[in-house]
Amino acid sequence: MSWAGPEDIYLSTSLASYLDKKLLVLLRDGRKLMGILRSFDQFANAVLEGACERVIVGELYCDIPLGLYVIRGENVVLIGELDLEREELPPHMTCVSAAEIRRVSICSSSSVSTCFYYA
Amino acid sequence: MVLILSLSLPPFSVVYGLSVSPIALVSFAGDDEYTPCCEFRPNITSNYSSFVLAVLIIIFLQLFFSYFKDLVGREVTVELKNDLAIRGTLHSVDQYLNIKLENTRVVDQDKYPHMLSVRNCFIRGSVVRYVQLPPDGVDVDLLHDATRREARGG
Repeated sequence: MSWAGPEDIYLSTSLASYLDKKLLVLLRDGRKLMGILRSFDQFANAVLEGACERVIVGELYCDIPLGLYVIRGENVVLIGELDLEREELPPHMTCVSAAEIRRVSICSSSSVSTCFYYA
Repeated sequence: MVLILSLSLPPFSVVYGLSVSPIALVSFAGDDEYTPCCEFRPNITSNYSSFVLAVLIIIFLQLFFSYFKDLVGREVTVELKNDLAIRGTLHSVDQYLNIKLENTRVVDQDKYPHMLSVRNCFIRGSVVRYVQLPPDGVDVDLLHDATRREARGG
């Protein structure tokens, strides 16, 4: 990531165009964090305000609020800008409580082993 | 750039009987700034060849950066190391080969429901496995010539 001038933010790979926007951050361990980008640097370290983790198990999902998060850049896979006009999730998915999603994820992980290999 | 400075110090490393691992040098260029930038091994004999290899690697990093800059505006599919494949228009690329895509859609949308409303994204260079290009997007002869020129040291 390079530090761009004011006229370059629309052309460069800088995260400046994502500032103060609600983003989806995918992490290397498979977690999906959502929040408003408040700060970044050349290593893609990021500060997310109002962060919540979206846990998805099958057709169920849950948003667990986390607060203010500082993410180390080496763990970042992807930073995506969420289009507010579109649905964030398919309509057939149902929102459940944190306790329910934890119960479902323990049940599913014991029966199906998901291998998440990151080189 | 600190990286180039450390390469210009081979006389020093010969004096102290150290050699610099080229792999560790490459990881300094793109990835994690806080890991030690050099790995020292007491091996004088491979010093020159590892220096040459490191220089070649750095040259090729610039080559692919220039190549991707020419591909801006083309439709590409980026496959990540976590098997997620994203198709989109290449908006920009930087020296670390971080990629910004526009008009993105995930190849296997049902498997990744959380990506439904993402239309623009920034992909960290370190997580890219492949960048799939349209067959007419590559001028193979031009790339061959550029590679030969770079390898010759031009």
